[in-house]
Amino acid sequence: MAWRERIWAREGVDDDTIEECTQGQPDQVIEIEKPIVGGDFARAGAGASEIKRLVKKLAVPPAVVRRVAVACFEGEVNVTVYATRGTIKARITPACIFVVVADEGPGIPDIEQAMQPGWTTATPEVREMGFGAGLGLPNIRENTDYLKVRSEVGTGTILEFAFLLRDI
Amino acid sequence: MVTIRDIVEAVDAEVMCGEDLLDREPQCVIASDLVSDILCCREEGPFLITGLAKIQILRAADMLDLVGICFVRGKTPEEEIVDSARQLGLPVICTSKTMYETCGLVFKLGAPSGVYIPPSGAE
Repeated sequence: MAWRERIWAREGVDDDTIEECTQGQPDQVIEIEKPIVGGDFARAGAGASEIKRLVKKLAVPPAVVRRVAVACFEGEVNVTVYATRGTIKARITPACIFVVVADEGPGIPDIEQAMQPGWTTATPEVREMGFGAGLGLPNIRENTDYLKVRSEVGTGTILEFAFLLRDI
Repeated sequence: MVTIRDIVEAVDAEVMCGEDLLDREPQCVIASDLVSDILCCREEGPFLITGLAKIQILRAADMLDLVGICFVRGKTPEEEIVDSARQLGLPVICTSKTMYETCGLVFKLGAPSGVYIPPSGAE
């Protein structure tokens, strides 16, 4: 199998913008990384919660904090629902908040389809917990300025998404 | 403005925690049993009506900075949920009324509905 990749970005934002925004002097950059355990629903969202708290403390505007929280939460829930294990990493610079959610899991056979609101392969057990509405990836895309989805069936999925803190 | 105390009275609810926070005035009210749906709320200070008395709801509550939660259909949250809510400074109330009736009564109080903007999907 091969890795597939798809990028969604706000107008005027591309890989170069993200490359530039994620740079910064070491004393201006904060990084946080949390593990995600597949199937551990009681802990799902714990990493997102910590990232949200950190971002809030950095005096990021409340509307951006909410977008970061929602996207990180959805990313983390996806890993919990579908994958074996993963990590959520956030890099905060003066120009942006950049998040990577990487997992070892089944991968996404059709990224376009997974992006359709309502599309889900979640089990009834997962739905009973209030998850699996098929809005995970769409909610992430909706709340981010840049989203790259990379996936290989049988290997895993890597989401990279960003929130710009300055006008571009 | 409508306070959480007004909602407690209107739906005859039991207050599980946050007795000292009942004077909060929700900016809007949302009702859903789906976590992702709840996360589509873009407004500040929403109050949530839900039948999903699970810890996952508390995580969503944390993400959105909810001002309060009402569990309907007589769902009594486990101690773990109430503890988490207490830590988050989140009033939790419970009513035996249905989702429909609870929403109707709260709507009648004049609390505004949260705007629901679903994600648009791939282009």
